[in-house]
Amino acid sequence: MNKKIQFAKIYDKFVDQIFRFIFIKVNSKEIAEDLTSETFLKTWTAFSNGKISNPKAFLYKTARNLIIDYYRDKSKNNFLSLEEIPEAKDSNPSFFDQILKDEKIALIKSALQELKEEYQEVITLRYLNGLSIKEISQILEKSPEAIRTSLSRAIQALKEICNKKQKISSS
Amino acid sequence: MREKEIIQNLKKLRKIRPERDWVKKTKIEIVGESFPVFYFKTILMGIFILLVSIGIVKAEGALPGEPLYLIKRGMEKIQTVFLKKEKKPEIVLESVEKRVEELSQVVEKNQPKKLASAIKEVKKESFEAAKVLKESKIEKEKLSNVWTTLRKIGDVEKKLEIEIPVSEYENAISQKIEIIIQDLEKSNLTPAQKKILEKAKEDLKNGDLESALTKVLLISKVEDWSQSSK
Repeated sequence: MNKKIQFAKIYDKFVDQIFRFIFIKVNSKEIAEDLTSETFLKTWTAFSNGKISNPKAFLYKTARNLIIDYYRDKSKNNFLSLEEIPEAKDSNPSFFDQILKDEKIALIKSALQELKEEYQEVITLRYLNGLSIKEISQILEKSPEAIRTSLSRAIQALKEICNKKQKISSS
Repeated sequence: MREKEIIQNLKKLRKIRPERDWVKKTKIEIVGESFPVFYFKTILMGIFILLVSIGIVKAEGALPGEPLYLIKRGMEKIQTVFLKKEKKPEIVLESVEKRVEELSQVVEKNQPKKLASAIKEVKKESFEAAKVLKESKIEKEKLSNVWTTLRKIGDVEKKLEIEIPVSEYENAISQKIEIIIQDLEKSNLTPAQKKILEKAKEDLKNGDLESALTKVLLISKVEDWSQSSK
């Protein structure tokens, strides 16, 4: 089968997952779009040269590296543009309005973004993107046992933040 | 909030997804046309090529007045565009031959509706041929098929008791025969050949191009053969 056709299928299958994975970390639609398209472009270049055996793992690893580069560049340039401020609203304010109308979902999202990077990643990959422990271990290059432990701790940490936030809002 | 509830709400965040327009646009930017469009275009192109090929094959046997005849003539015209100038007289004679052959077929198959178109095509093509022949030289060997063409025109005229309007073409052929006769008169002919040549001149004078052409081509052949054997 033509490589373009093969890659088009990979794109269709993973574009939502990759965008979601990036969005949770950068909290901006525009930046998530830019980094997602860059992720697929880099993966396509490697794929067309026959350098990829596991496209899914490659996509996630590329996305992770691009997010790291993005934050590194951001810390170098102390001045931030409006769109780069995590709390800044997107140009299209209705983007997630529908999803975040539910208070509990809004609470979970904001708590998730307060988690440390390692916990945020395992939770996003496991519960938002539905990856198996084995797949997560391949992407994060850790043993499945380490992922299980990390996931359990991450849920506990998330629970604590959520409960804390709920207490503050009710008081 | 309990752990189960947290996980349930986390799963609801799966609704976060990029806008469809952006997804489509980005896909085209990265891999070109989206898969179905790319696939669809390839299939369409294949069908188009197949239909054109079938059309061309079927058009080869088309007769004047039939829809595919236009494709046949179009293909012939395209082929002549890339021809060298010296090849043109030969090709126009072949074209007249084809049109006369089509006319013969229409008459043989008894298709009166196509007759007018077939005669029109012969007239048009012979007029074109006359123009080219008057302006250019042609080897006498190339005229050998003209004999068949003239005979077929004569057959149709006799059968239908009509006159095919090809006088321009006949004049052009007549001029070419005259040139051959003049060349033959300058060469060393045997008394028998001279006799045939005289008869050919007479045929030409009487407008019997078919007989005149047969005779001059016969003398020419013998003449060429005797010269090459010397």
